[in-house]
Amino acid sequence: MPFTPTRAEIHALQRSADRVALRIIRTCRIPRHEQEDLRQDLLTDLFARLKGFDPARGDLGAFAAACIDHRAIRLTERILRGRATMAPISLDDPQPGGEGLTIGDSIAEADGYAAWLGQPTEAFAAVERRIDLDRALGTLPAETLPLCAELTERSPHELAKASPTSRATLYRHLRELRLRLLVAGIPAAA
Amino acid sequence: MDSTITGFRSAEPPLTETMFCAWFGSAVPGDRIVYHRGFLAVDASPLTSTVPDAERRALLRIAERALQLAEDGLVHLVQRRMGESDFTYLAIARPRARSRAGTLASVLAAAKPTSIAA
Repeated sequence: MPFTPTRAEIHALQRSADRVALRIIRTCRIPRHEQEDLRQDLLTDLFARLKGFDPARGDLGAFAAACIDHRAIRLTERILRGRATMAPISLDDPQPGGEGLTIGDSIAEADGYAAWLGQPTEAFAAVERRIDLDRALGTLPAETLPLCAELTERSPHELAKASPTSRATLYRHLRELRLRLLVAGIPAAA
Repeated sequence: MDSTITGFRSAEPPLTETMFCAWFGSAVPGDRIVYHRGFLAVDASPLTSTVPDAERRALLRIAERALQLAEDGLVHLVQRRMGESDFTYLAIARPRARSRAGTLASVLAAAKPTSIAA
């Protein structure tokens, strides 16, 4: 008959898993909120192995400590191995030679969240789009560039609220900008 | 027998300013488009035009856009005489100028204003 721990024993196992999870967090220097996930991982592994536990051959605490420690070693190795394959970099880090631009500025909104995590994106389409936009930039009048720059950070609605310019004037400028971009071969995205 | 039907409207949708811009956006040098048939100065004026006001305004916008593109050196504007007070107005795409130096991001970063000019 498989071994079934009592409620008190389960609490003791949870506390052990908690302690080891905290140790992994300190060893690997990962955020504290990972503790619950790690504890869950340790306990799931332990419970899967409990069917092999024989009370006649030893103490549950010793058995659990061995299982949890082995699992913790594997988890730590996995975390450190995964970290070794990545160069930690912040989106706010400056681009080399980027004249004040950050790494985040080089990631297109269309690439989505996956691009931030190094996932593959439509690189060729993105390069072509950037070249098209660079070329279109040459056809825009210089006085429209400040508006373009503002639109990279704020929506038209936010601009209208913040600007002394009337909403009608702003949208007239936007319409003109859209047509200028259309002339340059850049259709509206939406 | 005179086969000309006067006042007959084409089934094609009328050219709009957006369509004109989109045409130029995908045009290669030498491509041409007829942006008006008639007498533009007469048809675009509120005093002399016989077309509905909405159509006249749309025509005026196309004509102004064509003139702007011509002033920017992007199109040639030519006319072909078809008859008395009847012209075909053509826009012919020209080779485009090279882009100004600088990438989009750097130029926009440099252009970042403190407030939008009216």
